Amino acid sequence: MPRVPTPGKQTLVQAYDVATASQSAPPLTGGAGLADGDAKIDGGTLFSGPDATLGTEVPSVAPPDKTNDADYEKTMGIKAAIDKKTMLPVVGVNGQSFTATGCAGKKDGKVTFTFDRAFVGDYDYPAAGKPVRGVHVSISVALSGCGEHKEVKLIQVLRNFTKKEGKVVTADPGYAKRRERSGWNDDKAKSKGWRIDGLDSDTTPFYVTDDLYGDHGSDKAPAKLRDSPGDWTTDKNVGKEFRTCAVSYAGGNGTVLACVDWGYYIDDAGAATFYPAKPTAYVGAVQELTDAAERWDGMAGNTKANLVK
Amino acid sequence: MKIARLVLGIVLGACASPSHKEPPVMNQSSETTSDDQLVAQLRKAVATSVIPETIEATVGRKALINTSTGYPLAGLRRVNMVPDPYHPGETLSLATARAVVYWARSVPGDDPHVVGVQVRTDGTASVFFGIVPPP
Repeated sequence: MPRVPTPGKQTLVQAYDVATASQSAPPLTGGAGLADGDAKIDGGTLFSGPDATLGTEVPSVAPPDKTNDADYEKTMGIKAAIDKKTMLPVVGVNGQSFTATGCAGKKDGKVTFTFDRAFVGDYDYPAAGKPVRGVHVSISVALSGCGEHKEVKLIQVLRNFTKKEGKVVTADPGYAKRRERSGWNDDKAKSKGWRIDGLDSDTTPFYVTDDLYGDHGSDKAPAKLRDSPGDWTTDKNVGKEFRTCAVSYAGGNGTVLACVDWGYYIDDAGAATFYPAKPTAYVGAVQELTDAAERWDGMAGNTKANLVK
Repeated sequence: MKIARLVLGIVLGACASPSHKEPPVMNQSSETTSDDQLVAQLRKAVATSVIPETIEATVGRKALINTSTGYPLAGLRRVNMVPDPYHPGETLSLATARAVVYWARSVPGDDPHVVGVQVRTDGTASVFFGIVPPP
């Protein structure tokens, strides 16, 4: 008399016994190998047959986990400063989101810039062996209802500034390559002083060149940018303004979805503050970005930003 | 006997931690000499063989950055190292670097001047100079 499966938990051996007891027994569902009929019992152990769903190809090594804010802050000396409280969270910015509505022509589409981290103060800059006064930010950029955007890259432009009689005045960026990118030696330069944020040696306009500093994004995954700009702690009446922009690339052309403005200022007394006090987010391209990108695209050897006008 | 112990103590003390010995406070001329010595030591190291892990001990000075002893190479990827106008042909190329070690130089100016060695992925090495502005 054939045994029939009993309700409840069963072992594979029990299941195999049931399967082999009668050809009219229902097929097993424990794997392709069993269904192939190549399973066997050896020494009381059930060995399944080859599983057709498994390949012999060794899977590629999983990509390492992406760098997180903690890794960056440790490397840049920011963590030590936060621990010592020489860098403090910016109230109203740290952990807050700023949203631009109406992206890519979609009335309800939103680009949300979240300042996952926003600190101000002093930290020891390892690369120079000197303390720096400024800000530290980690910005996530998420799209919602903006349509399909497979490749979203962040382009950041900035200018150095100072204040004269209380008014913001663009300042000399200081070194030859920055002056060239800023149009500093051209009185007719548009948005003079504004430049694509990058190293002297950079030839691409995109901020993220290593996952320590952020990630590219899409309509499904947020982009990320980490930055800790500043000046020496001996500097006074200096600052930098930034426009961090999410640009959607397709077919080599970039459409600016939205930007957020942020920065810092160190006053005459040496006190650093977030500047403007709260970031502003808005859809579309800002003039400083398009002018700086046009300048960038005109320089030999650069990968063009190719922003759509 | 006491003298022998004293001499032994001095010798052992001097050898205890040469890699972390800081340069003494110096006047301008000896600073220049010290800087010249550092550059000469690095050029000599490059001409023979550079071992990034031990080069700080070799030159007897603690480096600002040594990517072979814990500081990640990626940590330099957004450090804007401006070419030193006095050494325009000797610059850092991170794209080809396997290890980077550099020291602050005693050169006047707000922005630190640095000199270092880069060991490339193909095993070759060279001296580089640069200026590090604020981030």
